[in-house]
Amino acid sequence: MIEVDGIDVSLAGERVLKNVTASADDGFIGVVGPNGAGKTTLIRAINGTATPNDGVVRLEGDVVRSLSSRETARRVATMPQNTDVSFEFSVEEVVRMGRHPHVSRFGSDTSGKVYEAMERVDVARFADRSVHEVSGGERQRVLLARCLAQDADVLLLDEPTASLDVGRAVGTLSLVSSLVDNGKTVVAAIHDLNLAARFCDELVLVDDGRVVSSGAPENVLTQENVEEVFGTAAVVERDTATGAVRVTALKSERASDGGTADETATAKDESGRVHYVGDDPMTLRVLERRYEVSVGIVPEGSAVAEAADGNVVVSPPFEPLSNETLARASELADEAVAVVAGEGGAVPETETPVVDDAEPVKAVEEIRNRD
Amino acid sequence: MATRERLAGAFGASTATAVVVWCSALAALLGASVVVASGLGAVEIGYGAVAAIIADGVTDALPVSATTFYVGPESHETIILNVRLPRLAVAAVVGFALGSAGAVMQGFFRNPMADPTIIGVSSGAALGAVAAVVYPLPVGGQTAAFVGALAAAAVVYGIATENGRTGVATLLLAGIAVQMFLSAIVSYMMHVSDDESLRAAVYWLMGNLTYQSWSDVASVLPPVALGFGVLMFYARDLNVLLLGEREANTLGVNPRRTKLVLLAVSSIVTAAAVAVAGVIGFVGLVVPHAMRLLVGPDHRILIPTSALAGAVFLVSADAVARSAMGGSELPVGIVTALVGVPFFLYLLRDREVHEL
Repeated sequence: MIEVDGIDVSLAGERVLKNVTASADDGFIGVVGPNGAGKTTLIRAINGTATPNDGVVRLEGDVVRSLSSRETARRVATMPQNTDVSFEFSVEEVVRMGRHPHVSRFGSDTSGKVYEAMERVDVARFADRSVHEVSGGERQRVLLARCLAQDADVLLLDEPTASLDVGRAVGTLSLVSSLVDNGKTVVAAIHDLNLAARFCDELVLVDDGRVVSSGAPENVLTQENVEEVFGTAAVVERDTATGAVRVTALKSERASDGGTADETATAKDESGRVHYVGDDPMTLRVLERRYEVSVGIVPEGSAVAEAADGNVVVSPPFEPLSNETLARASELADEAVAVVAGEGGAVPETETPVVDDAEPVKAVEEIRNRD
Repeated sequence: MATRERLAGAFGASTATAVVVWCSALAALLGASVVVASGLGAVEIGYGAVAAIIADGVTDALPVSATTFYVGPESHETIILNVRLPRLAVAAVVGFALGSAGAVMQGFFRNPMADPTIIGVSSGAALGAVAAVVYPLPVGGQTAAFVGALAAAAVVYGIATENGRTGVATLLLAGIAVQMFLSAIVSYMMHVSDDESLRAAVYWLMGNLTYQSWSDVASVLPPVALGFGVLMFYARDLNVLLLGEREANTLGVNPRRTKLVLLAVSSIVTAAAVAVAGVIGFVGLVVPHAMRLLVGPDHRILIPTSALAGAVFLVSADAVARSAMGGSELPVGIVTALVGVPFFLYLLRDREVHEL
């Protein structure tokens, strides 16, 4: 049903997916892998919002790129990771948008699928409330309801359980599993390996833009694969309660995954830190995959400030930069091997070479090789 | 949102019903404000007489012969039909244009502080109009302003578009930069012009509705009406676009095409309005914002109600402009800013705008 055939996708000059081939028929397919592995990009390539430079994605034999947005939307519903909605739509209005690809311009929807979907994920009782007033977890269910209302055969979910408590997460994934029984194909990027192993029929393990392994969970989540891809020692066993594969990560070899303080310090010295200034979370992610990254000065609350873990210097938007902020940022930049500067931030004064963000990794490597 | 829920409850859940009820109410209000505003001025004419004259004017225009309602001095008839009504009609159409384009632009930029002139339309129009006043151009001020407005919008769009992608933030910043640049040119032209041209230019820049005739109505109405139709055609796509471009794409909206159409058409609508009436600020900013608080963010209701409320607002503001100072009249742009800014600041302090 979904065929991904040798696709390459580049974002910000970086190859995010490299010759990825995968396919899915009916069932619940989980895409797993570390941060920045390309899970989200793979989802976007399937729904047509990221266009491959090479290779094709087919839905029921039709090339996605050649389908109109409307036609694609009738076949594929996507639940995004970011659940922000900027204007005060009611919950029902948001769910009703799922009917958009099915309803003519001045027509109205009489299918009853909106209410059905809201009942199904238990958001009908606050249908009249503003999406701003409901919690993050509730909003995620609202978006799932919108996907159900969209009534497509393929459902793509980008981190569907990211902001849910464990009870809701299990509830959501059980619901998604039951959709599969109704003949839908579900592809979900899932962070939690154990939830993925428990609910998915098949897993696709991606790392650094490549498919490392795919197949039944017990064949994909082997100790060897987990240790290689996640860079951590791991124990893989059967969970006695669910019968599914269970992965327990032991000590991390990667500094950024939370090693001890000493390990972090050593890792930093070896690789050299890169300082990023800009507003593009994708660039940040690309850099974070390779290097330890510090960030600043960026506006407080910006996407990059939120996404960065660790050394971030922020400043409240539209306010003058304080001397303290400037000094802290300069200090971070001075200690870095390179400063990558894009749009949407203030580059601190520094001795370190500053490069632009067109091809960040290439530019940083040039500097490192020069030294 | 309590108001909104109450209203939604009163009108039933159906969007179509809500549109009809809101628009009928606002259209009635527009009719009433036109009648009241027509009676105001140097020659006071009673509301009854005004209504009768308008009714006569309407029935005369129809092919059927009907009774004559108005009995009174013929001069009053002339004042209403040939002086006050065309001016009020222009005010209504301009307010309608700015209200609808403002609603669309705020949705487009996903920013309730956006204004229909934000991508350089008004400064482009100012450049054209002032150039026509100061230099002997082969075209009139109105045409020059219209062309200038669209040219400025096209330049801003061109600057903000790279590889077929138009960043909304880039568009906003390019708009501000181009506006500043054009203002500098306008200032220069005013600096080198003689006193008479300077006065005419300043007067245009303040926004005014003096000396409008039925031919002005005829030139502003078609682009606004046509543009409004197109904007309504894309109203639901705009709703979906509010979720973000990528998400809109997954819901079957082609973001590039939709954005281009919305931007082009609302620029044309705004340009037509600005060309005939000069720079009238705050209608396109305040009116859609206020309507959003009342009817919610659904553009199928928001666009038509903002348009009608814009018309009511500008007709009323013009009535104040004509009568507030006794004998002499104020440019209407001054009135809209004086009323609009405090209201805007109230929104800024008390309503959801502060979360930006």
